Amino acid sequence: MQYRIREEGATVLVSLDGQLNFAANEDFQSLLIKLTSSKNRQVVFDMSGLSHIDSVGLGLLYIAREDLTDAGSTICLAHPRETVFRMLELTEAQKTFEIRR
Amino acid sequence: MSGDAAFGVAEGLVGNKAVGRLIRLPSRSQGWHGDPPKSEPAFSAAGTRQDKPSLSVLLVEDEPGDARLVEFALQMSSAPLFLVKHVATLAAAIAHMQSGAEVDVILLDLSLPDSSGIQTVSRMQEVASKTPIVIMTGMDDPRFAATALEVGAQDYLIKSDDPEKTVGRAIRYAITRMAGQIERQTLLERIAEQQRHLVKEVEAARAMQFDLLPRPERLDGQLARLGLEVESFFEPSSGIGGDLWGCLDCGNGRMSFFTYDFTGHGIGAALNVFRLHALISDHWDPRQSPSETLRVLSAALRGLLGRGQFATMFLCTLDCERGEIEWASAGAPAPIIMERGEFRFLDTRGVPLGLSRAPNYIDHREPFDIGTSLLIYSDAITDAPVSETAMFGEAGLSALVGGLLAEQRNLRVEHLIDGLYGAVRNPLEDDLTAVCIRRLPRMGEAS
Repeated sequence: MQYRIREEGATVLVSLDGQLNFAANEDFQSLLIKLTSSKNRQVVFDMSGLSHIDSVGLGLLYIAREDLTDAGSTICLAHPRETVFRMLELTEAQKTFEIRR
Repeated sequence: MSGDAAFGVAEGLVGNKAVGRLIRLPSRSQGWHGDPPKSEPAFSAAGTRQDKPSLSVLLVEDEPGDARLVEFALQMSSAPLFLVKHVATLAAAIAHMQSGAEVDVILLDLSLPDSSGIQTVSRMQEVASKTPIVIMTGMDDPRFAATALEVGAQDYLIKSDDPEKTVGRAIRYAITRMAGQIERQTLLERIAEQQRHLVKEVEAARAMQFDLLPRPERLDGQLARLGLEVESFFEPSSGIGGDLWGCLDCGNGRMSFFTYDFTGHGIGAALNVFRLHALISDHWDPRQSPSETLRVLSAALRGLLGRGQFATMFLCTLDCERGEIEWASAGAPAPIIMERGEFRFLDTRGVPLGLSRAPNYIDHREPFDIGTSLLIYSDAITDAPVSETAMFGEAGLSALVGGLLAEQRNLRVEHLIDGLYGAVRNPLEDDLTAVCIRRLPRMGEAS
């Protein structure tokens, strides 16, 4: 997984690329440290570049939500591809996350 | 009073009163490293030889002139003192080594009356595998020297070199090199030993995990009464894994089946498998609907799991009296229901266990007639890679099941696994479970 961060005012746009899985663990944790260093943001994960997410990756999103909420920020998952959306739908992630298609 | 004073400096005091608390003493080891290293490493003896005040040299040389030159050169040295034993044949050298005499280094001429060339080195090594060997060679055969180093000699001397300058130095180098070789060897042996130990541990844990699986000898009576045939495949990717399946008798012609799968695989996931297995035993109540059971299990797991960890789970109850299936799911891969050659995926949407504070699961119910079967599986099947970027997916599974059902009326898990292994990249990186439950006509019942 690779990521790019772009800030537009109070919104932080994070583009995720590749696969969000066990191999992404370390990169994702360092991404979270960056994201939680500033408070009260609207963090949008652009998932259009994400080809796959597995259960570890899903767990990472839940960790992100926990940490960002603690930092007073909100989290939104935007533009997931069909396979990624299927995983989010199957696990009823829309009950926890705002998901923009 | 003195006792109170002693307590006064301790932590865990509110005002002057001791309060109940947990004291966790820090671990005294730095994590787990397998077996503790042996207190006497095998290479220490060789390593210190160099520092001994005297070194025993076995000189194997048939030319008396060459032998005298070397002996003379070694006599010049006093620190260390060289104690030279001179023999003229390989047989005598071997006999000396076998006599148990202490030898710190062997100076070996390659051309002896009873042996010549490289085999002189290898025959010497057979009886002195841990003693450093320095080859002595004439100017005309330097390539022998290079080969001799390859087969295991530690250094070589060219005879025409000034022996006074070179012999002592070559001996010390040879001893140091040998010590290094033995050290590497010892480390390799130790690593291999630790690996064997680890494999044994994992094998024991794997056996324990397989013991959690349903066993034919305990189940066959109930299944025969209910008219159910269950075919299962269970394969952890790394010895032990993060999934499990099981079944529970509910009485009154009903039986429950479940599969669950934890995030990750390997030992951490396997430990969570044992946790949930114990929780199911504790919280199982056949009067509870599948959705209620999932809710209870999710709440119980939530407090136990680490951050980002969860389990997906599918739980169904087959009622063979009423011909019905009732199920609820916590985000498990969608099982396939197969009936009269047709098949479809079940709706298994639901928040995985342990992720949400107050999850709500939905019970689904539909007919499950004689001849109907249900395939439950772990996401190792759908997530199996078919190329660098593409997964087998529900589409791949759909095509495989469709193809198998077109060939034969009933799906066999064996054929499913064969088909999967044929289509995806092996070995699979995730724990694989596949269970197919088929309703058969009961004794005296028409299909």
